[in-house]
Amino acid sequence: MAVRHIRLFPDFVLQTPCRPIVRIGPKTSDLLRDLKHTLQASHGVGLAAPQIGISLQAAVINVAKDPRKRFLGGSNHGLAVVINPQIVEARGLERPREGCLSVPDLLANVRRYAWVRVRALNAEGRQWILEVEGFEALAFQHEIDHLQGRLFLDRVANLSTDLYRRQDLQR
Amino acid sequence: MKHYLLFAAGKDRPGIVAAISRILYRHGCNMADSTMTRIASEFAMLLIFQAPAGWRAERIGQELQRCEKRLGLFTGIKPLASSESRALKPKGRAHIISVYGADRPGIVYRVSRCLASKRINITHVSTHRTETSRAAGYVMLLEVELPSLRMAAGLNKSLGRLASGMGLHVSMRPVETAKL
Repeated sequence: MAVRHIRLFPDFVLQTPCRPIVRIGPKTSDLLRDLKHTLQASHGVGLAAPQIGISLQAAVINVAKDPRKRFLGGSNHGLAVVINPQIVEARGLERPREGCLSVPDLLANVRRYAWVRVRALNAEGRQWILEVEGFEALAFQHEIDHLQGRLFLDRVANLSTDLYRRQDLQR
Repeated sequence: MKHYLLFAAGKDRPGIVAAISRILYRHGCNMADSTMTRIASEFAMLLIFQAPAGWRAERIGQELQRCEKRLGLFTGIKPLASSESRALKPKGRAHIISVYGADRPGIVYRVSRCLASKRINITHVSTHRTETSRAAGYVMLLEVELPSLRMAAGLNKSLGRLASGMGLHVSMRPVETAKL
């Protein structure tokens, strides 16, 4: 079992857009195995390759056991492996408070879609389309952001307060 | 009715808000807009209050001094012209800017100088320093008013240049509001 060290902000690898994986071979299998094992050993619901220092477009997501899934509801694909994922369609709006294994000190109210359709390759290199909703949709968007060199800090929906004067809305 | 700005700051502990609001209440003053928050181990309050006709700020001076001693606070009062006590009409579309990366001197100064040079008004700023055993990180989140949407592209370019020169990541997006 290879549990890798999780890279922490401000590690530059977290700010760098990842390269797509062009050939799925033994190295990809090793990377996916390490991602799964490291995710299992953490308290997170998703892990992207740059979080273990590899700048390639691969991530694993598993919301099945997370208690927040019960409150936020939505889909559940169990342990999902995505390679070169892309959001091809999105709907709805959520403003969850989000954190990240790589930015352990901070939380922020962010802006996310409530439902997304994702096109990706699976561990065998076959294309698959997933429709994810609710908490799982938030996790997918968070991990796909990592693969593009973005953190949840780029999705902040407002600063310091959730209440504004009506006058402030006349924008 | 005259308006005043009051600030108070000191080591965070229970009773600071109660002590300040009690003084205002006892003097018949109405608290209007305020922002109160804890920053590290300090608690800071900034508020506007309305005072009854004929009231003078010196009247609560002694009580505030006692409060300063008892709770270890630093306080001050500033009178406001009536126009200053009203919320300003927005001078453009609100945008949020995120800037983050390894901590280094000058991040706040250089980002805010870039905005000031374009006469862009900052309405909120929040900064956070994080520290791990390996390195320190810095996060700066700003809400700004862009007088025209045409400015967004130019600002994005300037901030992008600034950020890449400092090894930082920057992103900007409009604040979306649903008026129902």
